[in-house]
Amino acid sequence: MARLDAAVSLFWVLLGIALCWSSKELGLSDPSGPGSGLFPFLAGLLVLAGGVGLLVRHVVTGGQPVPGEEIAAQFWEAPGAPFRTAMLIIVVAGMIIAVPWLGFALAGVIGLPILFRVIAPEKSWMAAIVTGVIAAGSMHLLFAVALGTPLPRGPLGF
Amino acid sequence: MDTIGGLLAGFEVILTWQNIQFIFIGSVIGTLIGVLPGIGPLAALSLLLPATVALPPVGAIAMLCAIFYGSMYGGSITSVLVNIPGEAASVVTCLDGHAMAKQGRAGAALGMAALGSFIAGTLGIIVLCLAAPMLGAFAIRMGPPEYAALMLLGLACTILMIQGSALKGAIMIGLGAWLAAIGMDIVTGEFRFTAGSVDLSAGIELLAVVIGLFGVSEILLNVEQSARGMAVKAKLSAVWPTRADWKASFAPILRGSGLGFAIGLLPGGGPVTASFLSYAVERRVGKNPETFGKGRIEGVAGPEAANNAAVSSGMIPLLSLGIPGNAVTALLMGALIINGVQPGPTMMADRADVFWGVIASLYIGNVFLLVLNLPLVGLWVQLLRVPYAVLFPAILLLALVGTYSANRNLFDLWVMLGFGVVGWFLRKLGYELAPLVLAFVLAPLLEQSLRQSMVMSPDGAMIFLQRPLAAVMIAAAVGMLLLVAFKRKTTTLVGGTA
Repeated sequence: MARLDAAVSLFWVLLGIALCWSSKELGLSDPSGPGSGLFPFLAGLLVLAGGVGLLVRHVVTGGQPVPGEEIAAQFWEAPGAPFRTAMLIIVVAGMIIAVPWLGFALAGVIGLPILFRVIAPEKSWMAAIVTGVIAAGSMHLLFAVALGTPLPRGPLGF
Repeated sequence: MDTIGGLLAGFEVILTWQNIQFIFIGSVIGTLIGVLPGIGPLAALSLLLPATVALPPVGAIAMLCAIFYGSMYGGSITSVLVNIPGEAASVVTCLDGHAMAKQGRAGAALGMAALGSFIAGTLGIIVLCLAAPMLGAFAIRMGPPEYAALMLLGLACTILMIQGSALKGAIMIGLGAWLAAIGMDIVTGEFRFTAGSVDLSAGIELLAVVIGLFGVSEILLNVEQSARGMAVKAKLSAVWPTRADWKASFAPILRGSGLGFAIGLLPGGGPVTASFLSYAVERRVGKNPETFGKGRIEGVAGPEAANNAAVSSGMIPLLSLGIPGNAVTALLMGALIINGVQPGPTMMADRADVFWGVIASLYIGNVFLLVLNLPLVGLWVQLLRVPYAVLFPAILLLALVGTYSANRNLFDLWVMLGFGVVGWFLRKLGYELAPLVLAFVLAPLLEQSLRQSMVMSPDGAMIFLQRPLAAVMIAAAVGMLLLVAFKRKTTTLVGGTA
């Protein structure tokens, strides 16, 4: 985890340099005053300074955590965590891709039962489907019917 | 308009059937959020923000404030009954509240938590009524240099209040400021960091950022742990405290109210810090401090009063200066802006209906919450039986629909998911996300003030030293940063020698 933390610090250094560079391209000042790039340049400088500070500290302490700033020893702490996390991200991404064609309600009816089973694999598919239908239906009623928000519609008209 | 007149006008605005419904719904949702461990007020507010976009501004903000207040009330229920805080500000209530529950006094602990919250919340709102207009009247005389200096001071205070690494907090502030700069520069019309994307030309949507960072990342962290619902074992006794309970709690409630109010005023301060400090004070001033943690009602009354008072006072810098002191008020500021209301010194003149209406709504919300919490505590406890397998997928769909409904742009859904994953990853590495959101909200105002100051100054950046108020605030900001550096160095040295 300490190595990952250091790698992320290095990423901040590189991002800070990139931000400062591209902000300079935008122009730090013009005859009328500060240019478009001045503020993002200062923001990039802060990211760069923070990243350098973290990297220097990592080298000085040999990767040991500073008191009060301890982080978990391992990235994945619970068994099965990588699977559950990856599945959640994949299913939500799939729902986003499906929304223009299926609409939110139908994408929810398909996606939510999968999420239900990812979180509670011991429960039945029937319980998962019923939960998905009720949740997607409630959301449709709240946003599309009660609040009148125009949502993408699926092939079934909702 | 004087304070009493303004407040009466506020009640006139808020006391409509529609607004009362919004406050009631907000109180119920807030209590629900507070009761359910895993979803904090910040995540809940960010997830529900889109649902308020279609509402009138007063109703929308009143509902969001009621959710925030409600989560503070509801958070104590799980702390007392199952020793699991519903939200971070109720952590300290676990110590004595759960000990009381084990002694068969859960009802008294819950009753005192609700009553202490109500008293402190009401006292806090009264002071808010008096202080906000005065501060607003003073702030109206400030120019761009003073505003830029004030915002810099706010960001410096945020670094001071960061619990973990100050360096990581500084990176988050820089990142938030850069993300806010993405899109078209309103002064020059130049596109910044858009990589040619049409979707990015209008900037990144605040809603998508906060829903991703707080809502989605929180669910990812919970799902990783395979969190499930829990069984409630403690039995509920009568919730009305005895005369002895009142006698023991009266002074802690007053102390907690004062302390919470002061902490909530500070940028970066908030209910969590207030509750911990109040507990520390009660232990110090209370008789037999060794019995704290073993069922002392003072250990419940003081912190619960403090966290509610901090919520009220946190509204002062937001409404009167337009400066959010913490992530929740940053979110409320975002909600006001989305609804076409710019918080700050001119808000009292330009949108007096919203200003006083929101303050009046806090009174009504507090009364609703007392009524909802005392008699219905048994009902709230039953909600702990809702399995997370039902809750989390439904919340994710709410996040998706809510994010889309704000701008009807599918790109925002990818932004939300992206920030959710980034937020989850950064939280695992000990990065706090509140400074990022604060910087994201404050950066456009800071940049605007900074550029206006530089344009109006013949001596460049020297204008910040030539204007006394701006110079004092910049000196205070530098002092804060030096204090952070000194504090961290001392901690490292002490830690190193231990």
